[in-house]
Amino acid sequence: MSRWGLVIDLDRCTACQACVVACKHENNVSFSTPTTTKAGRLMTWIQLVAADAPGATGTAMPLMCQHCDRPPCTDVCPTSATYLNPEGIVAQVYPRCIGCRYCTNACPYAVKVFNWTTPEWPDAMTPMMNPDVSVRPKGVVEKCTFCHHRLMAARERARAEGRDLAPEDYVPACVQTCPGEAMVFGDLDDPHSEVAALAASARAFRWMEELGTKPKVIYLREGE
Amino acid sequence: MDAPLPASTADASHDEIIAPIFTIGRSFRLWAMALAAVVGWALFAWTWQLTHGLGATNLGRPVYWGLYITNFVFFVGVSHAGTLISAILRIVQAEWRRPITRMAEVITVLVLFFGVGNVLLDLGRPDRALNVILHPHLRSPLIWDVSSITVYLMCSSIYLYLPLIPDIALLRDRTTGWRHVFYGRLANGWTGAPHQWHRLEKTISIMAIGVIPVAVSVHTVVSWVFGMTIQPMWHSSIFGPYFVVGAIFSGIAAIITAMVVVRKVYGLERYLQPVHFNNLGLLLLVMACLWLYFTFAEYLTTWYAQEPNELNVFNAKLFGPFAPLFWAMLVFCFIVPFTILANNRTRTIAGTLIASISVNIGMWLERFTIVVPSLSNPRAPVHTFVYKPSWVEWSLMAGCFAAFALLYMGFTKLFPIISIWELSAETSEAAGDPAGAATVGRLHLPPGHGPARTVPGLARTTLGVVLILVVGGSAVAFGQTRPAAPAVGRPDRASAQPSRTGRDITLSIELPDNPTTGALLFVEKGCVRCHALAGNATRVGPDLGRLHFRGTVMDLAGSFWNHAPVMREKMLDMKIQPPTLTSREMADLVAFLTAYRYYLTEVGQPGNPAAGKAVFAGKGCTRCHGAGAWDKPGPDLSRYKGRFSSIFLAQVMWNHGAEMATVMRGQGIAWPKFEGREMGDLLAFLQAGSGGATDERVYFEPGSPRRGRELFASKRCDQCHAVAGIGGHGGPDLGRRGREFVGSISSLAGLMWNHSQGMTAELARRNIPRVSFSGQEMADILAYLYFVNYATVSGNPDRGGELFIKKCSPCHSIGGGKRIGPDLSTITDLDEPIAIIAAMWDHAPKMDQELRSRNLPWPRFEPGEAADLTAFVLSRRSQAAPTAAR
Repeated sequence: MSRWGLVIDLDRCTACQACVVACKHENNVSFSTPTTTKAGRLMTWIQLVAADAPGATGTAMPLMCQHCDRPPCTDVCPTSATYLNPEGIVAQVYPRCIGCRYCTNACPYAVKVFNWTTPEWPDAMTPMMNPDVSVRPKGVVEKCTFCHHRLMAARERARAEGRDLAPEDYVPACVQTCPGEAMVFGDLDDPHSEVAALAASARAFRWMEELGTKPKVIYLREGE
Repeated sequence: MDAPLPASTADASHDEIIAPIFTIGRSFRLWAMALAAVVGWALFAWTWQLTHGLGATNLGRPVYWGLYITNFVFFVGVSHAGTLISAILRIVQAEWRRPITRMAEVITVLVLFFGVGNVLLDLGRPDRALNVILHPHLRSPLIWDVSSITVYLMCSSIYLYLPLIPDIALLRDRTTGWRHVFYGRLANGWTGAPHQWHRLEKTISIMAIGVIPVAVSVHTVVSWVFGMTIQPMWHSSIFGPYFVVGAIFSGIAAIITAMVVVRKVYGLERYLQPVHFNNLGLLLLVMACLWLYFTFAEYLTTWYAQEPNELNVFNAKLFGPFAPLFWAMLVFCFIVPFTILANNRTRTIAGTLIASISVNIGMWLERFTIVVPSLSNPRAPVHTFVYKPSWVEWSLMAGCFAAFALLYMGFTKLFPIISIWELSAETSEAAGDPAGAATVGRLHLPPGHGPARTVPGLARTTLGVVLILVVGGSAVAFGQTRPAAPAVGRPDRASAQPSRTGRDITLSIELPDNPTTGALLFVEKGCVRCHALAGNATRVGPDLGRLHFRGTVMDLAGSFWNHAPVMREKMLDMKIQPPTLTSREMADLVAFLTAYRYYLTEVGQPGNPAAGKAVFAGKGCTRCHGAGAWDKPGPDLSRYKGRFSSIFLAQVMWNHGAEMATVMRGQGIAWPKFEGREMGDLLAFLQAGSGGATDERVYFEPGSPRRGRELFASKRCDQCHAVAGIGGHGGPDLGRRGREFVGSISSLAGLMWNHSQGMTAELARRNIPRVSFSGQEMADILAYLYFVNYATVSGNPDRGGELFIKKCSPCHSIGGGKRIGPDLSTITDLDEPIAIIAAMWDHAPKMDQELRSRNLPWPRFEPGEAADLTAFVLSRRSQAAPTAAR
């Protein structure tokens, strides 16, 4: 079984936020305005943490669900609506979620978002919705899924073609988009994969790993 | 809305508590409408939120929780008001809890609904709330919450309902129409039978113990919702106890607030007295100190460690945007209540109310400053914003408080807000209450009057109404079962059923209801011509009022027998026809003599007022009671001068014992014990010195032992005390052979007084309501105790057999045919001890002649022998009877 992981090389990241836009479109994340953002209701699965934020690494840093191997959010969910799936992806079952927001509070990265209202898009954007991703109702929590729907599609295609899933078959939208090729995605348990090699790099670190969350998003420190 | 003035009798004092249930005043309507309007507005706000989603709140990322969760924690905290506090007070035997437990328990149950309700308000998808039960994830502290709160809610509801049952039954019996049906259903067949009481008490005490760990678990688990996460200033190991302390703290404050309101609105000043507020105020003071200690420990460790994430929250609370709330919390939770409650002079009802409201505000702020600042300063400093609750959130919060008040008001209109049955009638107040004195009868007993005039006088004034009830056999003990005695159909007659359980046979003796009959017999049969009853006139026979029989009814009967020949001679001399007595008459006469002896001992042995004065000073009574001493805690006792019987004084002393004990403990005075005649002297001292006629004495109607026996059961003396081996355990057996109660009433009262402290502790341990007595009840119970020993007769048939052979067998046999006298198995009506004695008495003249003609001595009975012989005769007859029937 694969253990999907993501390596982000901060040395290559240009803070262009293409990943943020790609994610929003890929996953039908609802539209936010400056007003709603100010009220703490920015809907986004991935975002750029400013370099000068306290606790940040001194570099602009794309932040999404860290897909912890010991996620604090899944333990506290009263209905198992959020859980760690066998492939290491922290998943969210929208129809199960009761909207108690305990997981959002337990997450030290504050990367889970809640649908305070029914998701809305400007009319111009509605034709661009991704038919592969369900639209969430109001009152549930949502989060980065490593574009799990892409994994499903890739696996089906591979099966149809009668072959194993190749590393290049499944790539999340952010990784696919990144112009600086700062993001690498793959199976951390595969010793020959690029992510596994990069994760072993001397530059590699995991954010707040001192909390014991064992994230599967690995950052590479800027080179000296 | 004001309840009527307290009615005079103990029963009517319940009306004061019940009155609010049947009256709805104008201010009640106005308040109810105002509160309903608030609730209505909140319902509108809730609909708004359901339509627009949680977007209607001002919550956002990262402050995902706000007012609702604050209220949830606050309400669950307040819920510790009732069940936990009432259970603890029950278990530690705090007597003063009685009027407040119900009020507290209602708070618990109602407030829990709002605690749970606030969680539902907070859910993004309340329609999926059942997922918590359908798909529970047991590792989530929220599931622990759901389980714990559900159990707590059920336990609290049961714990509220159980002690309500007797009161509901009371209401059922006092209502008609739908209310009657409603209470009838709820009363669940309660009749107040002893076994029901037994079960109820047992269940309540089990619940009281069981509910404590549940209550503690509830708030611990609520705290763990926060403590189990790794968020700064949530992840704290002391959160469990810290929250529990805060919960009890705010719970007590809530009780006090509710008490002040209920007391004021329903005029229950008589029940909710300053002492209750003082005691709860002290508890609140202790909790305020504990709370400060926990808060200090929590914040000091956070600050000292200087962990950056924790410090962010710390600074936000103490110096940042939450500083006004934090410091207000400190003022409301500690400074205000401590200042007020630490001072005796400000720890008044108004003072405790101010402190309580302050604590409630402070504790709400505490919950808020725990929930929100940590969320506002997450580890990942990506977002933050200043959370200010929206109108929807404020409206729903107001709605919760209004709905709580409304439901609480509604409860007071359906059920008594003070537990009636748990409040044993506070008759100690009756001392100053004319109604209490009204039960005191008056007897003029001028000295020098002959018994011939006194006795019918007694009868006329019905003063001689003494029910003598002799409890012997196990079966009759408390009216549970009645043996199939030969006297069936004649319950007034003496009856006996020999039991073959041991070597000794217990004789069941039931004496007539009305000893006045005996008084008349005493005159009619001519006894009075030879015997005085504590009179001064010199008579031929001994003064029966001054004789002290130290024995049982059978010994008295034996004495009768022994004097038969002498008496016959004297009677012949005086040309009086020797009286014959039926067994009923014999029973009446014996009962009368016993009854007479019972209240004449007081006359016969007056206490010494001078010695009583020394007792009064020596036992430290003067430290609290003094003539005209307004600054002493106890009442001036001079009002008892000359007017009250010893029974009444004994009753007053008994009833105020618990209250007095508290005061005395506070002042470090030892509990006085009265030995020997000290109580009699003390009472004589208290009575002495009246300006009235010295020959005027005030008596209670002599107590009825039968009613006393019922009281003995209903006041649950029988749970600790056995009577002749039958009944409860723990206390001494009051019917034990050789135990001598036959002293004066005042010495008996002294005995009760001496053991009252140990008894109070034991009662509370067993969760039995404190016992107090009305004046008549005191007389009854004393009468019962007095007769217990006298009436508990057991005889040894073996010894009786030897006596029979020695004293009776020359003339009589049982089942062996006629000798000189008849075969005793053939005589009817010999199935009761008294009947045997009566038959013996009636054949005494004939037997005397026979014996004289044969030059045989008159057989005499030593104490105990009459009982042995009776036991023998009865047991032989019961064996021989079937044979004879064949």
